[in-house]
Amino acid sequence: MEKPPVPLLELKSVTKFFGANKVLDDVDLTVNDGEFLTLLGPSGCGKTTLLRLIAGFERPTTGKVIMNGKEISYLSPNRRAVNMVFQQYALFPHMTVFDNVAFGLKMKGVPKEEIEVEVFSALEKVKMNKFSLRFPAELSSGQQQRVAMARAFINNPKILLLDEPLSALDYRLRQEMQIELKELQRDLGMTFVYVTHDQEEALAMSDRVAVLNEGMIEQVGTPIQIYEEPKNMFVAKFVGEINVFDGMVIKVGDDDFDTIVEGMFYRLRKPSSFEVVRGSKIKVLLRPEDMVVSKVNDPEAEAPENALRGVISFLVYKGRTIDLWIQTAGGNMVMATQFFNEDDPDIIYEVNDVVNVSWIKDWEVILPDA
Amino acid sequence: MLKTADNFCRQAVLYFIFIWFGVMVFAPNLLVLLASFLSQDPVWYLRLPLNLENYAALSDPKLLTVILKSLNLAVCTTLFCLVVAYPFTYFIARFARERRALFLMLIIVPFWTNSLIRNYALISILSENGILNTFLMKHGWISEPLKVLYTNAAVFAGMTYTLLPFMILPLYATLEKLDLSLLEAAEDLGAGPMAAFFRVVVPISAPGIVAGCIMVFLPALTLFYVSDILGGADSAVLGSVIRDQFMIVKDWPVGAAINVALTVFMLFLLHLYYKSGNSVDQEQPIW
Repeated sequence: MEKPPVPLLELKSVTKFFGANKVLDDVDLTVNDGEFLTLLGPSGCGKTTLLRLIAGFERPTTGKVIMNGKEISYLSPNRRAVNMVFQQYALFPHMTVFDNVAFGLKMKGVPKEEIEVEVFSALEKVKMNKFSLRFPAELSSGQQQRVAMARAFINNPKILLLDEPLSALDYRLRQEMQIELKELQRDLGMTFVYVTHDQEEALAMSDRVAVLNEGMIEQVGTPIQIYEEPKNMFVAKFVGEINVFDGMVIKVGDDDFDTIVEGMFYRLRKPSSFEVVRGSKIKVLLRPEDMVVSKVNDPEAEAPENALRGVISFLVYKGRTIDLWIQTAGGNMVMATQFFNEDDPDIIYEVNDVVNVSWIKDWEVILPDA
Repeated sequence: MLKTADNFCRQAVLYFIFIWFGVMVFAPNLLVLLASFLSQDPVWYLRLPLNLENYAALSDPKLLTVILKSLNLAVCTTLFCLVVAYPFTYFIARFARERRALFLMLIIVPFWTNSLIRNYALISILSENGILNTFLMKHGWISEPLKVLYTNAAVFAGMTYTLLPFMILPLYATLEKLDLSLLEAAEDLGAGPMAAFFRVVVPISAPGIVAGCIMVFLPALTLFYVSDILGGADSAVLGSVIRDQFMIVKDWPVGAAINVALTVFMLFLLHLYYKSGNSVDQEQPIW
C-alpha cells in the first residue's frame, strides 16, 4: 500500500493438462515481492497444481512461469529459489528434527558450524529448539508442522509455498497457527504463496486472495475486495454466506436504476463493473450481516418501503451474534446475522416471528444474471 | 461374557505361538547346541562326555578354506541380488497397482516349481552344448564353447537365480510404502536425484535391505544342492560341509558345532546392524 508492488513471480497464460484432463486453463497470475498470497478454491480446482508448477514438480503444458524476469518453467525443483511446506509435512522419518531442518543447507554445502547456528535460529523462530534431537514420529502434528516450516524457510527462499499446511490440525490449533504463520511471514519478510480451501483462513491471513474454480482464476483481490465486491456468483457463493435475490431492471438513471426484487420496488446505485440495461435480469447479493431485521408487531400492517416481509423459520444462537433464516413472502430463504444491540437488549427472536427484512443501503452487490 | 471369550482367544493364540516357538525353534536349536558339546558315537551318533574339541575342528585349514570360499560366494550372491533387485523393485513399486500385482505374480510363479528342478533346468542352459553356448557361437561372439557348468560361476548363477525373489519381496514391502512426497521434499530442498536416493530412499528402505540380505546370505552359505548340481569338485559351500558331517562322516557333534558357529556369526552381524543405529523405526531388536 505504501510502496508500489514489485512483481516477483509471474504465471503467463499457463495451461496444464493431465492426460485429456484440463487442470489449469489459461491462468495469469502475479505474485508480488513480500506479499502473502492465497490460492483459494474447492478441491479439484487446480490450486495445488498451480503451487506445484511454481515449485517445479509440474511443468506447464503451455504458458510460462517467470521469476525475476527469467523463465523457469522447465527448471527442476532443486534449482529453484522456492521451498515448499507439504500438506502432510513430508518430514524425513529417519532423521532427527535437527537433520530435517539442516537438510537444505547440507545440500548447499554450507559449513557445519554455520548450519548448526542457522538450524537453531530457525527452530527458535518456530519454538522448537528443545526438540532438535527428536524424530518426527515423536512429535505432535502441530510440532511437525512447525518443523516443516523451519525446514523450508531456513533456505531463505524467494517464495515459500504452503500446501494446506494447517488442514491436519484441530480447530483450536488451526486458529492459533493462522496468527503465528502471519507473524512469521512478517518477521521473515518472505513472500508466501498459500493454498487452502478454507475461506476463513484465506481472509484472515492473506494480503491478496486468488479464487480458483475449475482451473480458472475467478478473482484476485484483497480479502476485503473478495468478500465485499465479489466479481461473479462463484466468488460470492464460495467466500462466506450470501443471499441472492433475482431482480428485473425497469428504468436506468444517471447514477442509479430502478428494479423490482420480490415484487418490491427498489432504487439502487449503478454498479461500476457492468452496464445495467433496461429490461435485463440482475442478481442482487447481500451478506447476512448487512441485512436489517425488525420485528413486526402488527402483521396486518403493510411492510415499509424497501423491506420484505418474512417469517423466521430457523435460528442459531452463536453468543455474539444470532443467525436467522427468514422465509420471505416471495419464497426466498434469507439468512440474516444480527449483532446483539446494546441499546435494545430485550429483542428476543423466536421461530415463527413475523419480521421485516431490508438491508443497509448501497451495501448490495449487483451482478448480471448469467 | 464376550470379553472373557475374547480374552480366552487371545490367551489361546499367545499360548499357541509360545508352544510353537518352543517346539519348533527353541528346542531344536537347543538340541543342536547341546549336540555340539557332545562326542561322536558310531552307533548312536552322540554320546557323553561333554567336550569342546568339536569347536577346535573349526580351525581345520581345509574347513577354513571352504568357509572362506563359501563366504565369498554368499557375499557376492547377496550383493549381486541387492544390486539387481533394488532398481527392479523400486520401479515395480512405482507402477500402477494392477501392474504391480502382475509383476509380483511373475516373480512368485516360478516358486511353484521345485527349486531343485529349476536348477536342473539351468544345466541345459549352461552346459557345453547348452542354450547359452549355442547362442553365443551362432552369433560368432565366441569360437569355443565356454566352460561354465560345474564351475563356481555356475553355482553363483544358480544361487542368484534361486535367491533373487528372497531379496525382492522384503525390498518390495518397504519400497511400496515409500511416501513419494519425501522424494519431492528432498528435491525441493536442493537434493539432486543421487542425493535424494542415497540420503532418503536408501535409509528409509534399510529395514528391507537388511531383511533381504539376511534372507539371501544365510541360504547362500548353506544351499548345498545348488553347488551339488551346478558346481565342480571344489565348489563346496558351508552347507555341503555340514551335510557331509551329518550324512557321510556321521560326525554329528562337529556338524552341530559348525552350525552353531554359523548362527552366532549371523546374530553378530544383526547385532552390528542394530548397534549402528541405522534402523529407521527405532524399534528394539527382538531378542
